[in-house]
Amino acid sequence: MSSNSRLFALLLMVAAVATLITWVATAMAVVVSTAGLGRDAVSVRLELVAGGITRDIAEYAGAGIGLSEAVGVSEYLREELSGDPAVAAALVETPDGRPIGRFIRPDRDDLTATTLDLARLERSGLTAAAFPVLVEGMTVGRVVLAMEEAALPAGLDGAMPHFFVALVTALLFGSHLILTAFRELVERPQQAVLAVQQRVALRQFDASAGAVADGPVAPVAEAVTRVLVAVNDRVARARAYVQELRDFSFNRDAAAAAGTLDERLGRSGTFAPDGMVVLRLDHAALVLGPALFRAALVIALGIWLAARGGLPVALSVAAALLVAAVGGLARLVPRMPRPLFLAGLAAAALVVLPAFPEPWLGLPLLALASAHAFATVATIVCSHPAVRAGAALHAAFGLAAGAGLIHLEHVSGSTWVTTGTAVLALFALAVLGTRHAATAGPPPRPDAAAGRLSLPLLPILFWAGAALWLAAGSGAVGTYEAWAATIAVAVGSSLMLTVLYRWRARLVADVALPVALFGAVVALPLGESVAALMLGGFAVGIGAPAAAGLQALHGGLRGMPWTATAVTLGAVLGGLAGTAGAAVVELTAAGRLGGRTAP
Amino acid sequence: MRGLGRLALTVWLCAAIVQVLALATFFATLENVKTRLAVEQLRTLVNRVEGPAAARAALGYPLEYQADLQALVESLSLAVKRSADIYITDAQGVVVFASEHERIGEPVPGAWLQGTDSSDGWVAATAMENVFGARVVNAFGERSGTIVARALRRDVIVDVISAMRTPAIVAGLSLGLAGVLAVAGTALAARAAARRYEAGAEALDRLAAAVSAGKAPDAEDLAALPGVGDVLARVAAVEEEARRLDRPLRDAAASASAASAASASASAARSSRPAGRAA
Repeated sequence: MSSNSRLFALLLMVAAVATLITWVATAMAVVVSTAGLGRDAVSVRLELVAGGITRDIAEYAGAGIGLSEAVGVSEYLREELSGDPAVAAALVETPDGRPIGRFIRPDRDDLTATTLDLARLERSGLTAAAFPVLVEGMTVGRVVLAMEEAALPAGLDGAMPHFFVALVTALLFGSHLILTAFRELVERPQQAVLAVQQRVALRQFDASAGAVADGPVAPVAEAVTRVLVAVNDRVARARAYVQELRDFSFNRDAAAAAGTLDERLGRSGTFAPDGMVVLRLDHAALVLGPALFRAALVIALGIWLAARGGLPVALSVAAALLVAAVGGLARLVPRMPRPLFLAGLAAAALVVLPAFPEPWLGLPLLALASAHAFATVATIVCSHPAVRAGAALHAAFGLAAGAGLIHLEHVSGSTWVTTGTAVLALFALAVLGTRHAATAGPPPRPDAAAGRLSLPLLPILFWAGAALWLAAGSGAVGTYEAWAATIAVAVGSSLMLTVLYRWRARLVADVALPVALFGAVVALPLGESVAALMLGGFAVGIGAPAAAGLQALHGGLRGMPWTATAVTLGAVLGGLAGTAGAAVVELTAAGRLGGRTAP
Repeated sequence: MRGLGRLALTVWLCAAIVQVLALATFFATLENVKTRLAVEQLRTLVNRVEGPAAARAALGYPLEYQADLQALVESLSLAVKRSADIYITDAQGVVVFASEHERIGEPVPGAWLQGTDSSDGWVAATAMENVFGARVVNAFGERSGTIVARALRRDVIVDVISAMRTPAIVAGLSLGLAGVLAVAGTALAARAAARRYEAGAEALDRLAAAVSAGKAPDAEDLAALPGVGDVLARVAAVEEEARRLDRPLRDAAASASAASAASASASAARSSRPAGRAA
């Protein structure tokens, strides 16, 4: 593990500890508050029930019958309270504590054998209270009532999965933030300093790293610039001396030799007599991952917003897929408007999207957002196979974060979280793309245009996979299930990346891709089950980085016929196996297989 | 250690994002819990009225003739501090007794009576209100009327906001703790890297100072930026060559000036001797 990886892992651990501490503390406070709500509710219900009973008994006693001679009180209590399942026990007693009637719910056998009183009921884990029976201001008896109070009120136990989704989603966002900051504050200045050092080793002193972010590497970058300035000054002084020798020397030989010395100075390195320029570097390897995270997030939320307006999910996915590809290709056209302008337009579109009752108006807005997202991503081209493959993981994380937000919105019913996040992510994506385009130097390879052309292939494959399992549910997939599937995508991507890093071979990708598609297509006919969704997501997660790595290893679009054949074979076999599997499942469910026969 | 502030801020932001999402989720959960509790309370209210009303309805008294029910619904509504209203309707759905007097004589909204076929009561929750209803049947099993309790969701929200006060305070305090953790943890995690960078920057600063002063840098400092030593050596060689070329002229000029000084002193001596002689 490199020192940078170790530092990043340590930062993630610090963030995880800080996050978990705050989350657990707040969750405990919520549990305490909820328990308080439950206690208050039980005490109010006790008062309501006891109020009716004390009123009836007061009327009875007010008729002139002494409570100590009352009969039928137990029957009255049974008639009154047997319809309320929360009441566990009730007791009516005289002021001197003699019971004249009691009610015990049939399933509370533990209370029947003993003498009931307030303390005994409270010791039994019940919430109990005593209410006086008043007749003309005199206490003629009292009613003791006990209710069962659940440790946690109903509704809190089922909320744990939502809390978990919130935690994982927030951690995904936090990790993305930390990664972005780490790359901006540490890795990007490191690359700049390293590039300057490499140029200095080649005796090139005419460009500096410029102003870098104020991170831990900034002092080094500034010190390197000071050395460059000092060297340029030293050379300038030497050159001035040589010129003085040439212009003012009485020695004719020296004047003639000065030209040679000047040439030697010029050959000793590349200097900047008129001031250094800022080195322009292509940091695509650092920017591509975060950009794809934001793009996937924007498009996932856009699809959700459009689907909420009434569009079929499959149609939304297909539209986003198509337009993302077009947007990626459109960036090849020179002199496009500034991405920021498009971002503003698309952000405004996303803001007004939920306000449109007519879903067909949402479709072009979703298309605009998708096109812009991938137009921005397409400005960032990276030819490194590992980065290409890793980008799929970032996209998977973006998708999982979006799915988590969608689930939380579905649970809470508020729409501002998804809309606000979509707009923020789109804006952040545009800023990333604009900054990259402004600072990037010439592309590292002459065939970068081909790279741009082939870049949309990755999202196309990725979104095609996503469309498969989303459309499989035909809109019947719950948000929690969809989130689980996206997490499966992320897990699959992580595993495939680990394999690709360990065995960086074309064979791995060539085998993994058809196998993954096989799995995805097998899952298709199984329909809406969570396991099928997760299997499909896992397969897409494996396939996306494998395809990206394969694409990069092949050098773009060339040399993929064998892979295409294998992929087709995998898909066809998967389709056949999936159909057969679905038939088996159906037959098993109908009881015609597995030895189950109708009597 | 310079430059770790933004990293620590980002780490803290991670905790802050979690808190924002957590609070939003917790709020939704508490609202759900409180809504259920509110519905249970409505169920209790309805049960309290349904008991006596159903007993007399079974004896043949229609609900609209049970005048004491008005006092009962008012006392129950008072018991819950008017946070819920209770309505008793006849078989046609017209309110005959109610804790909200203005409603008496009016039909209840149709949405409140959508579960009248249910023998266990029904819940009709909307964005504005929670409603629990139960039917009352006579001895022949025919619907004699309905009892409906209603509470505004606004009260639920107010209670939830009140209940969220403690979690919000805890969240704020724990975010403060997270800030301390983020600063200390980031400093601890980046300590080795920051020291390495600081040492590198110091070596480069010494190198820059030496180059500016025209002194020979240490070999250790030169190793911080390979390539500088080579260029400095070349520049020094050029300067030395220039000095060498410049030296004969300087030597000649120096000897010429020395010679002129010597001749001047000699002529001064000559001029003083005759004067002495004359004296």
